[in-house]
Amino acid sequence: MIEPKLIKMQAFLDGELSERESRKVRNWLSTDPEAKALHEELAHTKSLLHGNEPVAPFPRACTPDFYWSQIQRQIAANPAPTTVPHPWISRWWKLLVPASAMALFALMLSLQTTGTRTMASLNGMEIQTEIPDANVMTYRSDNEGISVVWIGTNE
Amino acid sequence: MRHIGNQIWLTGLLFVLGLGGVVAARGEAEPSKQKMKAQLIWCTDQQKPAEDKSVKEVDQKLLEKLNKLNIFKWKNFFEMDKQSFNLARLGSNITSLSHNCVIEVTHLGDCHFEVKLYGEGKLVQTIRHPLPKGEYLIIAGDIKKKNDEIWIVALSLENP
Repeated sequence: MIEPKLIKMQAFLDGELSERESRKVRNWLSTDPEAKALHEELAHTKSLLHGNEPVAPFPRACTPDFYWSQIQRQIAANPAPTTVPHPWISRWWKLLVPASAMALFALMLSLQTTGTRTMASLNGMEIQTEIPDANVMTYRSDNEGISVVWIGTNE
Repeated sequence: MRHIGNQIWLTGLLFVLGLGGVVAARGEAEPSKQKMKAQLIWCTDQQKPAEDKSVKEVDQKLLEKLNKLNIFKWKNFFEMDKQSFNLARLGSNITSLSHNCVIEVTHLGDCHFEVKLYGEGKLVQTIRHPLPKGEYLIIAGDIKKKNDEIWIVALSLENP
């Protein structure tokens, strides 16, 4: 039997069909022995299920009101964790850690920048002369690995 | 929130440990002391004075370098004095190269040094310069009333 007819037969048994559809099914049952056998089988199964379905009666003591009162009691017994406001020092401490890390990083960066600037500005050489009107010249040979500082006087 | 706090602490800890590692590595790489050589060199066209036995030819290595520089026009380079001294890490040393030439060398960290040159008891020049091993720092100047000659102080690092 094709599935639509099976569904229609089940709907007929459940009383879900219209009068017109029910009439068609009755005609079908009177002419088709196979359909009649199916109807009897389905009817039998339905009666078995209906007669032996386990019943779980709602206990009288456990009324919905009882359950709700239980839930309310549990809520009252376990109050939601309230956010305790941290002392002001704790809040500042939380800010202090990342702020310190950033300050340290900035300090290292500035030290590194300063060093690089000093090296770059005088080609790695700083000269301070005490002779007035002195002519100071520098020369660097990378090939020979020599740096020369020449102190010339005008005398 | 607590999880984030732990992460911040862990990051900070790793940062500090890393910084300590870098500092330690730098400290290990730097020797506790270094040996420096200072040479007082007389650049002249004159011949070596026969009567002064203390005057020596400059060592061949430095002589070749000076000649290759092509900025010193003199024929002869005589070593008037040579001093070797140990320099502690970040330490200082004062060395006399002649009665009127004194140098004070200070280690500034890594291969950086400060050289103070004193002439006739007065500070003449302060030079801060990197001096890696195998290289030379040369301080040169006119000799008063002898424009055809100059003196040189050559500084270099030696094997300890």
